[in-house]
Amino acid sequence: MHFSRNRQSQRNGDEAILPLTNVVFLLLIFFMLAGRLAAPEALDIQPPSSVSESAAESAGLEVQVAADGELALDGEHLTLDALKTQVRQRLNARPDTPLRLKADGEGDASRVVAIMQELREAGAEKLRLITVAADS
Amino acid sequence: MTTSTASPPHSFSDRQRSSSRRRTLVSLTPLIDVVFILLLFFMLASSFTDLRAIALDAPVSGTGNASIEGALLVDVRLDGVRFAGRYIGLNDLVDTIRNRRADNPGLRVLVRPATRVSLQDTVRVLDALTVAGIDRIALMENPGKGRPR
Repeated sequence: MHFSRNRQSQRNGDEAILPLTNVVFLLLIFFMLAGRLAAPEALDIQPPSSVSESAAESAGLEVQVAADGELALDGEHLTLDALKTQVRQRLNARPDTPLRLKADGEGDASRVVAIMQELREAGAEKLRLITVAADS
Repeated sequence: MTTSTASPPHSFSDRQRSSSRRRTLVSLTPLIDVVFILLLFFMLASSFTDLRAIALDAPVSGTGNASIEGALLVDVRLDGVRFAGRYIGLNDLVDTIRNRRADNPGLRVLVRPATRVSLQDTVRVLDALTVAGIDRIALMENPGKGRPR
């Protein structure tokens, strides 16, 4: 008798947090599906906003250009020459790799274009400029 | 004392009863702890910025100068956008480019930002060209400028 009453109270305790568990599970699933895991970034970059419709794919290499012109490849600081060497090596290893260029909106556009030109010389063919969706 | 756990299950209903008894014994609290930790991880590690991409052509592809000929050149300068030798507003640019594109559907447009023009302004011009229906846009280097540092 005493044992069964004890078990009854424990069952009640478990059932009391079931709604909480449901909500937490829902939140978990929401964050797992809706959020993308962000890679740690070497530079603080605010990409320019645009009305472009095509979503950015996360595959391939990411070249980052900060507002002051600093460069990074996949979260690693580099000089322009080292960047070219690295990009050329990786493109030689896997030729069809798409390249994303994530540049700061405040940065100098002509420098970004010059870097694009250098990347093309290094063999990059699929180049995409990353922007954020305009909040309008 | 029951014998259902010790003896092999004889019928379906017998097995069901024993499993339901076991379920009440497993506490949910450790599960919720783990789920909370997972939830915190995904909340902190995920980013919700809506990233978009603009595909950019090479200004000079393998065909050499042929790709530059027949392409329109839009200059982005510090004091405005220059097209066909005069300064032009973005809305006029969209209309003009749309008319040109009606004659020549495969039209290519080269965008040439001047020194010190911000990337945001350049992207605004690229957006205007996209709105005008151009899907072959290339950024072109300013000829008066040397190699970047």
